[in-house]
Amino acid sequence: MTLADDIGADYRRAFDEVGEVVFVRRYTGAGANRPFFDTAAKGRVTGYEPHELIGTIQQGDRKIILLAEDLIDAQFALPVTPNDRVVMRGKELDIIAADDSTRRVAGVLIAYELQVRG
Amino acid sequence: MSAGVYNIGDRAITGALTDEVITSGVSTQGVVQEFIDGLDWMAAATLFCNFTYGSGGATCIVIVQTSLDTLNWIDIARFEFTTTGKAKRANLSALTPVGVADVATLVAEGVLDGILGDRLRVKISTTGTYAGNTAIAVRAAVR
Repeated sequence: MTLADDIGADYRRAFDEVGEVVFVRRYTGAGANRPFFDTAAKGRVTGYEPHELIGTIQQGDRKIILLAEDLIDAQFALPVTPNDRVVMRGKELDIIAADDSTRRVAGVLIAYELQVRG
Repeated sequence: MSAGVYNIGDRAITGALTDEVITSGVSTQGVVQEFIDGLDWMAAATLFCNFTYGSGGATCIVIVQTSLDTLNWIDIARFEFTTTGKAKRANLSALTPVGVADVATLVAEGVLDGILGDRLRVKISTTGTYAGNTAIAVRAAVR
């Protein structure tokens, strides 16, 4: 088992305890009737500290750490981009930024860090 | 991968297309691929094909395919649409006994039951120019 496997398993255990299911919604095309598909993944939702409110981060934004393994298992075509949305607790949120670098281990994507708004 | 509903293709339709693969899946390494795989346990697949019509166009043919050798694709369901929004469904079982036959294309609205590999993809062919946010969405409930 590699270090990335170990850390991925640690994330899984932690998110099973403290995480919640959120959905990544991907739209195709345009218009009110455009098709979309929701892909479920375990995520950990937090707010931002006051000192983090710089750059594009606004008060009320939230950070979601999202398990990449769940998206891959559901055959979600990575990457998650700001063109996708997140549905959390029944509400659709905009993705302002999708960071797929911070939570990589030896190049293996463990989790996304999403900045969401709405 | 586990039993559940998978998105096996979404596409906004405008200009004419010929055998365009619309499936976007991902490998276990996170690499995008034009099919969904890891379905070697699949005993049945219920397919749902939703055609949202806007305007224009003539015909839209949606073909769901599987593969048994990861190289050659076999048609397992064929849905046809024209200029009306419609949703169509079909169910396929891997447990249906099937005799020896040539691999062949399907007739309109045809299915090939009993043949399910470990992967699925969808390709579409259209004629005419569709507009007005015409789109196709294909789902597979796999179990």
